[in-house]
Amino acid sequence: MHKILNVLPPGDTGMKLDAKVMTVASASVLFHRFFREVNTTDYDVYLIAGSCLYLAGKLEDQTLKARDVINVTQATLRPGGRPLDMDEAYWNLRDALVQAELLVLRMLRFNTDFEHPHKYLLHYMVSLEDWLGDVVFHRLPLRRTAWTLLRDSYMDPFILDVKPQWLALACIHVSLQCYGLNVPGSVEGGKTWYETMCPSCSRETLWDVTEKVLDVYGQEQQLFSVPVGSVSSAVYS
Amino acid sequence: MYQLSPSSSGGGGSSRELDSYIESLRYPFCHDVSKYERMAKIGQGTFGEVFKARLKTDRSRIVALKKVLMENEKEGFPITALREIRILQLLKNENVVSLLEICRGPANAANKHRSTFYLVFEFCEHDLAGLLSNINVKFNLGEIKKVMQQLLNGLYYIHQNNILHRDMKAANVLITKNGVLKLADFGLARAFSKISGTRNRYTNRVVTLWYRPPELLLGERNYGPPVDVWGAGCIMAEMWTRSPIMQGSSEQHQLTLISQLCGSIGPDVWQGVEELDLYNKVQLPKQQKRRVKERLKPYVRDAYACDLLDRMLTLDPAKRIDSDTALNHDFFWTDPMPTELGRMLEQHKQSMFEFLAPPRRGMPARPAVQPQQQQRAVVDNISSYQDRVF
Repeated sequence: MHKILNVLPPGDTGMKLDAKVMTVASASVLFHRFFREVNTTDYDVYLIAGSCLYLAGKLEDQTLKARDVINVTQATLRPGGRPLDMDEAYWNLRDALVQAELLVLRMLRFNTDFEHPHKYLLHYMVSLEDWLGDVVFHRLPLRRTAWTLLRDSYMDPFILDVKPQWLALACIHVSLQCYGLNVPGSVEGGKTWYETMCPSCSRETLWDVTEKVLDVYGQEQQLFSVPVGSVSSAVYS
Repeated sequence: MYQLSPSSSGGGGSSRELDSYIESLRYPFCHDVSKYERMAKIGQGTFGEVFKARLKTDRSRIVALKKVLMENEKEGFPITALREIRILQLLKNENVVSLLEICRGPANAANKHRSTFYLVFEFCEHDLAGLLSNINVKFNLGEIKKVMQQLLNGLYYIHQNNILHRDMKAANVLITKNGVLKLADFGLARAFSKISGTRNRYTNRVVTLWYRPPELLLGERNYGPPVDVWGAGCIMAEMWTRSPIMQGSSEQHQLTLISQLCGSIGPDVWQGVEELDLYNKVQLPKQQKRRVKERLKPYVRDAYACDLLDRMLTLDPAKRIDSDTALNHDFFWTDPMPTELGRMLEQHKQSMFEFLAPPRRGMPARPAVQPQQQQRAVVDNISSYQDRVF
């Protein structure tokens, strides 16, 4: 249950805020790291998610307005509701958001750095394009599928534990499988395409990470059936 | 143990119970600043205060505490401080000041339960502005070379790591009693991208006016490492003149001073300058001859030094020497070779910081705080947290 709760917020809220991909990714990392240190039941996940998003905006040079974060968090919890009035409830929420930001920073020992797999994904894709040829590449949405897989992976804390290169390769791997593509030269003749790109990525590693990427979709059903707002009724009332 | 439940902070913090609850919170990952004992205040800028302090449990461990001003409390932790922390965590080099940890101050009713934070740095005894303002401190040519070599080495390192310092000035150059130079104050620093074809849009309201390069004064927003090299050039000249060489009172005045020293600014010496936003909006003195070597010769005398200065103070950023090439300049590889500063500094038992020094000739007491900077704080949301680590 905890896992389910703590996967949804940053991604979903971030999309509505029109946050950049990297802002949402960084927010998710902060969020997962935070809940690695503490129990999910001790903190309001939506508040922490909002704070992580706010903090990630500062880290990624895309400063998000506190008010927007609050309103969008509200909208996520109560679809169709009105934006908050600038009353005491709003200011309390805002205060909570800023306090929680400091809490997150302290909990993470101000260590906010994370190497994201996105750059590897882009880089590998460029190499694969040469390998597979333009025709295949432009006929099939390989890139977009891999990119989406990567974004969705951030729903799960496993991203903290795998090498960014591996995760990028796993997303490409799934994407290739989706369209039934084989990279030429990958069966015989020694090195596979993924080992060529990242020597530390063995077949076992690739399959292991691939499984984790796919597992995220296994949680989907549960994810979206979470009774929205149940945990947060005390705060967002 | 670390509970700070949102519902309680949402309550407004009026009740006494809540007060004592918050005050009793413990954060095992972030040490309390009270583990250090304050010894003296060594810096004061618009950003707040800097203290010399020592570890209570080991009084030989001296550090500098830089307070993070949480002035704009509604916006949470200042973005400039976050940047500085991230950049300092990334940079590990002998010629860059090292960040030891981040500590928190007490959270109590007086600060609305918002804890203050301190960046804890290794302690350096002097800053270059302080040393230069003391007439008893004399640098010989070999020692000046050592200072510049370390300065350029630090710059080379940070630029290799895609970081721009953006606030080069003598007060931000620290020197330990053993003569090791450290670049400090990354409060205005940022990462830059080298991807060709993309035009960056960085703020150009950075760098203390007297050390600000012409491209920034003309409104360039797609700048890079040359901005720091210009500042390094100004600092280098200062090693002989002992006070900043171009003390403009406004952006316009600064450009005039630059033109008088480096020659008129125009497309003939600087391709593309006419496309900069402010090129047609400010008055640029015409028919000025370039007089860098001529004007600095009486102070500097050494021909190699003059040549290097001339290259660092090149108007066109694309033609300005980079730190790597500068380090290979003959200046550093001819007699007298760079010599350690330790021996010379040994004679000076007292810490020299600009903050503690009497005002230098021809300078207002506190040149760091200028109206331009305050204005810029408003413009790009760079809070007042800036200036100097020390």
